[in-house]
Amino acid sequence: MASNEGPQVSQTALEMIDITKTFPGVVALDRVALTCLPGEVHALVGENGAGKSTLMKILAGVYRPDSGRIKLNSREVGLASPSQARDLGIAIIYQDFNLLPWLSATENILLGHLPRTGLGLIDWTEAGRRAQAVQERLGICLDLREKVIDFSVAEQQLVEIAKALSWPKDPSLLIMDEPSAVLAGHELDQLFKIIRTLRGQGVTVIYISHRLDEVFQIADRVTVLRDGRVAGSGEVAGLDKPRLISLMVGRSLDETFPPSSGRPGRVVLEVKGLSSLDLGLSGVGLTVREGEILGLAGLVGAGRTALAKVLFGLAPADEGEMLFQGRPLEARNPRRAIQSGLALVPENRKEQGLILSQSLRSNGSLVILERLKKWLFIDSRRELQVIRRQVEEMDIKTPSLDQEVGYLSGGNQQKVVLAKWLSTSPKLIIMDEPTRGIDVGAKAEIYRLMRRLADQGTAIIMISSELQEIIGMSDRVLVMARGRVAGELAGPEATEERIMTLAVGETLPGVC
Amino acid sequence: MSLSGTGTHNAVKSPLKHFVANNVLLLVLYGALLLAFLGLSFYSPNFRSGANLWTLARQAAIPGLIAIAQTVIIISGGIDLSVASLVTIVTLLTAGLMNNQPPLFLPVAGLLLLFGAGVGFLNGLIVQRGRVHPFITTLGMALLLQGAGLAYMTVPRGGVPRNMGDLLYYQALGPVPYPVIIFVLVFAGCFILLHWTRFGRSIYAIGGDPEVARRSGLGVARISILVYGLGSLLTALAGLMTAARMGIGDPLSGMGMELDSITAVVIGGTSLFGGRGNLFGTLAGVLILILINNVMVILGVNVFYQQLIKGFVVLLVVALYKQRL
Repeated sequence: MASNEGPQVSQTALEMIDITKTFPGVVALDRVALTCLPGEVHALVGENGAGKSTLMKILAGVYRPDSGRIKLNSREVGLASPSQARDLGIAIIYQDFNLLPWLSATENILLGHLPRTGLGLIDWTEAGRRAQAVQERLGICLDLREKVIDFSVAEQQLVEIAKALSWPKDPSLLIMDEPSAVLAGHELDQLFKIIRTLRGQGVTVIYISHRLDEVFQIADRVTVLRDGRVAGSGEVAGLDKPRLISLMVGRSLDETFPPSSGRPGRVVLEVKGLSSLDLGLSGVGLTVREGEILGLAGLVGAGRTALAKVLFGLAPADEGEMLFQGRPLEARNPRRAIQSGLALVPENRKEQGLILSQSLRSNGSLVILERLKKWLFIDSRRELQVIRRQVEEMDIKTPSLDQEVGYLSGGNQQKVVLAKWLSTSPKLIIMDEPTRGIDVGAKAEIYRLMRRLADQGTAIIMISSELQEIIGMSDRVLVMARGRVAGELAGPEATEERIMTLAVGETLPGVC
Repeated sequence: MSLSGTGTHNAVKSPLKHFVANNVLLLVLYGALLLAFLGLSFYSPNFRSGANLWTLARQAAIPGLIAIAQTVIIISGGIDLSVASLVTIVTLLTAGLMNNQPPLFLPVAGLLLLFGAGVGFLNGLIVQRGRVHPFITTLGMALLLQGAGLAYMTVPRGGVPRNMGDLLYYQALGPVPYPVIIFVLVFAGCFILLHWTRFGRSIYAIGGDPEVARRSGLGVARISILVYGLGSLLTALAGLMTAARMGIGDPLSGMGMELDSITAVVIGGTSLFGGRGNLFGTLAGVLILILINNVMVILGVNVFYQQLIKGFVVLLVVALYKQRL
């Protein structure tokens, strides 16, 4: 595939030409060009920090480019504000949603353009009617009077989509930023169905995603960004995954999943009959050995994170036994768990793993502050030593050690979290979705790291919703469903099909 | 956005069930008020006399107005600590400028209402353009106004003309005291504004999530500034009514009113974080505070214990509201 191959049609839906945008100290976009054809699904892919969100925010009127031109339907336009972008038919659905949690779905859908009666007051009856009409068009039926905060994430996303379609004038261009990041299984299918419906109605969809499998499922054409520049662009049909990855990272990744070299040692953790009424766990049992990576698979809500919480002392169990290195584990709170030698890399690094407004340094030393004490104060020199070593070992890219962690890319943030925990030299690390929201390059680094840790004798429990990751990294796979252990698969037995079968609650023939 | 629930699973509730589910707090508050009311009426003939009840209502008008102002500002994501000082200085200026001359009533009152709005706009400008936190901004404004007031008048003097005193506080239309009428009109107006106009809904939006509001094309700064202006306008009105009640310029007239207004808002269930809440909750809060005062007086309890009781009520209420605050 030749890069930057332009389509040979007379009318394009969107052309972004020579877009450049700089922020203090960083060139976010460097002469980026993007062309979309009418009624196509165009995927925009790239590593974290490649510039995808910035480019889309320019299109949505939130940022102004330093230079460059934008043409809609071959006519040049200026996008000075979000309202102007919307008037021109551009609608954007942000990854973190753009909803007001305490207002009803109806209000969120019609935000900014609630219908009014002749007297200038809001016509709530008409508002209800319009919101209902939009949701019928999408083929969904939610109680629109409910407050958005009471909806599940998937339902909230439907409200977002309805919002984009609710304006008097339909959007001609719909931008979706990582829409699938919070969806699973049939919710994703529903999303694709809606996208195909919209495409059929002539709407052009720009689909940003990390998940390359989705690109091949739903997109017609794709543009790859790398470090603020276009690395390639063309038809999806003419591409395969390795090629796409190599465009994204600028090098080919042959070994995504490093192979295991060691043999598992003694049993580090043994769990029997763990139950918790509040968390919905029932009779969970497992063992993990030194140097082993135990993959924990299952659908969202199967109880994996709940299990992690109980193991780490964040929640109590009603019944059951936990033995850590042969001794009963009294994990009544995280502090005890840490002292025993456990570590938990949480699912949501921004909220549970890091203090975003604080520096890399503060975050990195957070768990081992006790050890860095000198009389009443923290020994800065030793702290710096520890942090410097963390940055070096994990290859964390940051302008300085005092950089606010909130400004680091997802992959680097996750490395900070990992480094923080590794400083405690844990014997067992529980990692909950360790590579969520992280670009391909950083993922590979984290996989390498995990394998290295395991080879050194650390036991790892890896919770993941990405089957490829589970299969590629785990020595054994434990599948959970509805709060119970549905089955255990070792080595070659762990296929996608078998894991999914167990995860949805069906039994496999021949498996105990 | 990371806030989500377990999902509605496409279930649709009946309108009554919906109303009850969404307004549990309100129903409990008014239930408690009703019980207290009935209990007191039964226990004390003094309490249930018409005179006492209308006095109660009259007493609720001024703090009620300020609480309305505070509610709207808090829903928009801000807070106003300068209300007490604004009331004080309006009282002083009223008494000092009118100096017992009836013809000056309307012009000076009108001027002071504009002045009030101006103070509010200034607060709003500093918060939005100066990017200073509302707490600090309005605290500074409170001190400023307090100082200005003291510079103008250190001992009570001046006089509020009779016509103003009658119209704004002492007289009634039939059995209904004028201040109560004023309060009801303002309450109705603000209720309609908040729930039946786009501007009102925008207030909820900017309080709930200013970034989302901004991305949706709402003029966050403009709306916020207008809200502060409106709030202070209503506070200035409360100040005029206070002057009418006192008849003279008293440098201590507004004391404690800002805390009372915030207390009423909190008891009423409006979140201090903004984006949620409604006026009926605040009304319940005001009535509860007035009731406490009235009961203390009837029982002959030392008025200083009132603060104690109020504090206790607030803590109790907040503990009950738990995570939804």
